[in-house]
Amino acid sequence: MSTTPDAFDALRAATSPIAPPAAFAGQLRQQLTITPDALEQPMPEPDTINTVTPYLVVDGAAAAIEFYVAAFGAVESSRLVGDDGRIGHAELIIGNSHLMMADEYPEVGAISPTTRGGTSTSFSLTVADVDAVFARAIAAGATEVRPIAEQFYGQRQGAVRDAWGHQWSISSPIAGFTDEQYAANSSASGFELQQGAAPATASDTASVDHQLKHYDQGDLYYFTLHTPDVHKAQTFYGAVLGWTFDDPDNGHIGNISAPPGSAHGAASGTTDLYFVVDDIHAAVARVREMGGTAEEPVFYDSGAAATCVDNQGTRFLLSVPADKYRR
Amino acid sequence: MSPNDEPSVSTLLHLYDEALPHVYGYLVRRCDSAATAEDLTAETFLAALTASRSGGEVNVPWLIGTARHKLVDHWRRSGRNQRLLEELWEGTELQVDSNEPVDALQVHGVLDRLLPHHRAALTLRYLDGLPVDQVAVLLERSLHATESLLMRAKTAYRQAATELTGGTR
Repeated sequence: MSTTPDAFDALRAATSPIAPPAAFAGQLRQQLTITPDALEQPMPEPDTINTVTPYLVVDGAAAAIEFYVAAFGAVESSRLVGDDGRIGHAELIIGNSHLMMADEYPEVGAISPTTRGGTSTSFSLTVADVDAVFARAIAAGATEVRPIAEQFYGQRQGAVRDAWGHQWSISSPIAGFTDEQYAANSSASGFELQQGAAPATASDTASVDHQLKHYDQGDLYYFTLHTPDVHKAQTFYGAVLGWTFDDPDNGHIGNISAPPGSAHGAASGTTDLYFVVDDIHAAVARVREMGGTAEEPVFYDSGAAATCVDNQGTRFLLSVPADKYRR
Repeated sequence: MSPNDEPSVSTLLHLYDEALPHVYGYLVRRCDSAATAEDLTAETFLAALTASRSGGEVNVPWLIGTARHKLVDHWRRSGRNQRLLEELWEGTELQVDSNEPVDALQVHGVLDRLLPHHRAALTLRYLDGLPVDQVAVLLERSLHATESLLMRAKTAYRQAATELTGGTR
């Protein structure tokens, strides 16, 4: 050990206690008091309710619930029974969706399809095996409205009416059906397909990673903005450019198309640009031949990289993108 | 039986009022924000609860030791995916630290500007006053790697301190 005095010893922190904010102290105390058992168990997933939930009026809600359980695999989560025996409110879950229903209450205008003489709403039930669910619904007492057929919009679909007059379209998506087919089939059927700006479904966006692309040598592969504090950078660029970050402690930007990039915790205000090359060693050799300098390549999950400085002193990086980040 | 009747829980709650300012004081002097200090304080006491329920003895030194581990974990999380930056640092020349005095008053401002692993090394070695071998154990590095890391961290600290005061020395 060195015996020379270390100037950094001046940084030794005080050990005097500091009281945290009273609100925090009280909250933590309560947490210690009431959650000992919760520590061993993961928190239950919060019950999620969609923004829009259908509310059915049914003349005979109790029997209808039995049918929804048998035909569609519904799970009844609660039921409110009035002193006159009517169900004032019941909640069901089918798949990932919630459904609410009640018996007829004509005194408040709650009238079911049987009383009304038809319905102008139908429920679209998307399942993995339309044939099986359709058959089960018929077996449980539903009436066929439309037999199962492959529809021009990419669904294998049939429709039934339950004994209480509600109508259900049951469908499974046809595998491999594309937006182009949808547009072509629509026009052949006399419709023009007009699509909104929003992606059609969550699975559409998940299946196409917009940060994967085909790279050629010379393309920009990645960039990093050197910002000392990643959290501050997330807030700043989130506000200025709308960047979103998958992880609060990681600067990788999740919502921009390739080339992707990140804000990094580095102590200077520079930018790093990573350019694609076919062969990292050959490229490093070219840099040196041309009078630049290059560090030896390093290999990451994301691919190979070599830090270089050109012959005028500008820093840049070479990259061979990992296969998983290219198409 | 309510949770409060449990001996381990009531012992911990008894210790809580006395120990909380020590744990929070330790963490808030070493974190970049009070919010982080609060999070790590809560993690520390929840760990204490688990420990005391399984029969362990929990006291203030135990809590500070646990808080230190929580802090190291926090830096490790913050430093994830910064391997490239670390590689860049590993490539720089080691500079011999000068004997110029270090201004303890600006320590937080300077530490906030450092990479997490530099911050971690300096905090454990100097703010906590731990010997290098203990810092190495906490950071899961070899003694030699820890000494190099400390040297780089001190260089980075001197640079950041100069940038912070905005002047040349």
